[in-house]
Amino acid sequence: MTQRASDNQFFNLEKARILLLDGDTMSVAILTQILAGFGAKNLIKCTAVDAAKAHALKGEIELFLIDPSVEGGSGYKFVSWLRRTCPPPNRFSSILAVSGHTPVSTVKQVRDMGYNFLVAKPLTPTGLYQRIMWVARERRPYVQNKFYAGPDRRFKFEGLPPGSDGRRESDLPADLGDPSAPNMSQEDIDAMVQPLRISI
Amino acid sequence: MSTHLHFSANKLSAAIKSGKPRTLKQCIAQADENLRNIGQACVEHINQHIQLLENEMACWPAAFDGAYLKGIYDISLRLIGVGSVANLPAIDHAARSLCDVVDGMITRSAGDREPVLVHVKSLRLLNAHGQPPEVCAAILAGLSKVRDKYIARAE
Repeated sequence: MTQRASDNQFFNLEKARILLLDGDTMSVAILTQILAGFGAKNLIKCTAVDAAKAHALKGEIELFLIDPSVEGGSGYKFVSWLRRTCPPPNRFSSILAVSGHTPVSTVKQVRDMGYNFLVAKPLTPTGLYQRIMWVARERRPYVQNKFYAGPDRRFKFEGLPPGSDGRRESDLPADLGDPSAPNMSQEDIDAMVQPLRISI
Repeated sequence: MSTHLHFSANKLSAAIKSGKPRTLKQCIAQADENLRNIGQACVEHINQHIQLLENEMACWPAAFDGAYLKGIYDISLRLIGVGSVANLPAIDHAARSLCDVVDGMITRSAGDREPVLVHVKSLRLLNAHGQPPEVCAAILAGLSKVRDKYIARAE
């Protein structure tokens, strides 16, 4: 997950509606200051889950930033509610968990509840930017079944397990067939992957 | 219940693209400036929470009390991330270390006052602005040893 922040890149959150859910007012203040620096104007700040639910039902929200430990761990249940009960489009919105303490148990719970990503405190503007861009570039489908609702967790596809034919319709056999056409020349390959400007 | 796949357009991406072009450099500089503006409030937040921890330590229970330890955990959790904004990054490290220790105790259902107390005292020492970096590093190295002992027991 390497996303380098270059000074030449453009970024503005002024059109994004963002909901913050955190029980600690200072944490909300820090997030608010960073997001305001990113141009965010539509910030909904909640310190209680019920208020966050009411806002999620009221209007479209593009990004949720949630402390899972809010109200004694209700941040997990809130995301489960968002992914299963909340009507679209917010059901499929990007959700970042923001947590100060991230033992393995927290990371697993965050993953299993349907968060897109976990951001560990202390927050820095560059770090938060990188995580926001990571979820903004995501193209993972959303999965819903009896056990899980959230972004597809199988985003590191490194081929089929050894000795398996795969279970997906798109899975291809590991054995390659015979070539169906002659090899492409280096010029053809270059033209395909590196278009060149020519003068006519 | 069968598995459903839903391919949804990324609304966040669309929202970012529809904003006026602003360079990342401007965004980061503005965010840093905004954070500097709440630096003093963060210092006060740290003072209040260290005081809360000291008050809690004064009434350490005779027997293991999970709810009491959870209270200490919640206070130290609220310190993480505030130290960096207050220009006291060592506070973040010490608070995280305290969370690890208390989390380990709750997991083992065994409270031990001394490791918690040494963290609270260290937080008080690290809270002084102008503390030489080598002093902060020495304090954090000591806390790290305590943390390793308790986090290892928890696993």
